[in-house]
Amino acid sequence: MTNIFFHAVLILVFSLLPIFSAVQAAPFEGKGTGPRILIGEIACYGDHELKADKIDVFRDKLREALEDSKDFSVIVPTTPPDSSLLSRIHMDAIAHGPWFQKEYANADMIRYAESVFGRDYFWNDNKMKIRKEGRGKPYKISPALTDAAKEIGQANNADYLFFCNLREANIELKHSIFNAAATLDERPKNLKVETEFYLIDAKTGMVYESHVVTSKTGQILNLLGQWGKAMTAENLLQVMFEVQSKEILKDAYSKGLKTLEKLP
Amino acid sequence: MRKLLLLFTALVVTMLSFPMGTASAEYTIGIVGYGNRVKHTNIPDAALEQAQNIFLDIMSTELAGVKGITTVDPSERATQARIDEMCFQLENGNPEKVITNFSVHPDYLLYGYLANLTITRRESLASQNLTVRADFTARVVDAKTKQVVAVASGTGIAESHGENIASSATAFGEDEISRQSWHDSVEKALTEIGEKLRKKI
Repeated sequence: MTNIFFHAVLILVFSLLPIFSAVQAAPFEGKGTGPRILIGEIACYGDHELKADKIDVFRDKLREALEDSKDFSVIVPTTPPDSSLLSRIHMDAIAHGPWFQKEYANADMIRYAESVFGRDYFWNDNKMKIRKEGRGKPYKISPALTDAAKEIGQANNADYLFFCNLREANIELKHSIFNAAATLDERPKNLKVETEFYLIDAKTGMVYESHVVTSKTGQILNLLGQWGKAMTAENLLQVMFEVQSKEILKDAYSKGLKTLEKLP
Repeated sequence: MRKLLLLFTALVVTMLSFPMGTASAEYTIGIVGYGNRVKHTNIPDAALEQAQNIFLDIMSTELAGVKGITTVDPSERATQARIDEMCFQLENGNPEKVITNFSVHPDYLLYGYLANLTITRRESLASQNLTVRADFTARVVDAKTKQVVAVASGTGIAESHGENIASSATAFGEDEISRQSWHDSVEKALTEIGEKLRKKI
């Protein structure tokens, strides 16, 4: 009797051995252990559209920050969704968000918002008041697109969809009488980056919206005096993108994930 | 006897269900491109052109000895060289030395982008220094699905070797010093990318 069991165990072990040896993880697979996130779109829907080069840099830095964090695991979609569908979900999440202001959006965004809510909606003060009360609370996107988000989530085994809108990046030159003769590169300057990110639960279609705004002067980032009198605008932008993407990550984990997890 | 039979069947089952080839999977990475996202610099244009060559050189050396990965150069230049090699061997009457797989189909493609390359001058009462900052980002793309698989970015900051420009510029010339420092900064940025990519593999 014991012999049979012994043989059965032997067979099992022999049949399992090659699985352990053969299953070799493909390179560049996410090593995070957190919820699985699909990066939908990182784009600019602000009224002053950024140059494509700058958005591409931000795209890379934010994606890298998400990949490196242990709180999330970024997935590579097995059945890649249509990019136009993704941008429609993004625009829908922006338009339904209580922070959305039509005046600070670009033409595409305004057209989409008007097609969803109608032209009169944004001029109606009562409706705008109700809209403002919803700030900080999760909300839903249009039913057709919730279904689309669910399908994308199921097809790629993703828990959340992540969208980011880099609305504004402004560089202001500061005036100083001591720096009157300095060149443009050396003039002290202030950089403000405004982003909104949207974390969409792929199962329920609930959206968490958050605004991350950082504004820093060159002197604060230049404490060690590494860059001389002031940083150049290009250097400042690179540093700000890194700072911004780290803060987005912090917000997305500490507030975004936890509010979405608490929902029924 | 029964024991031996069972063992044999177990072995046969395992051999049939898992082909031997899958045990050691190798992936090829093609180091392909270089994109320039820099529109405004205070560095001569020659630096931007040079950065491409530095990118190709350093990334291929950084990823050279990594386990489970072989780097290839799928560029026109490299395929032409392989074809030339083939012709040379045929002309010399060595058909057994001809490379058969001279066309390369990599599994992943590696693109690099120069995001920033600027120079700043630090002045104090005692000395003048040049500081160059280079920012690179790299994307790894799956060649079949065309999806971005991994992203890595690197920054390189190089000073003018701690030398005083005011004094050494007379000896070497200021251009020479700035060239050394931007070369160093680009190298530092790319080695950082190489380290990050090796961790992700």
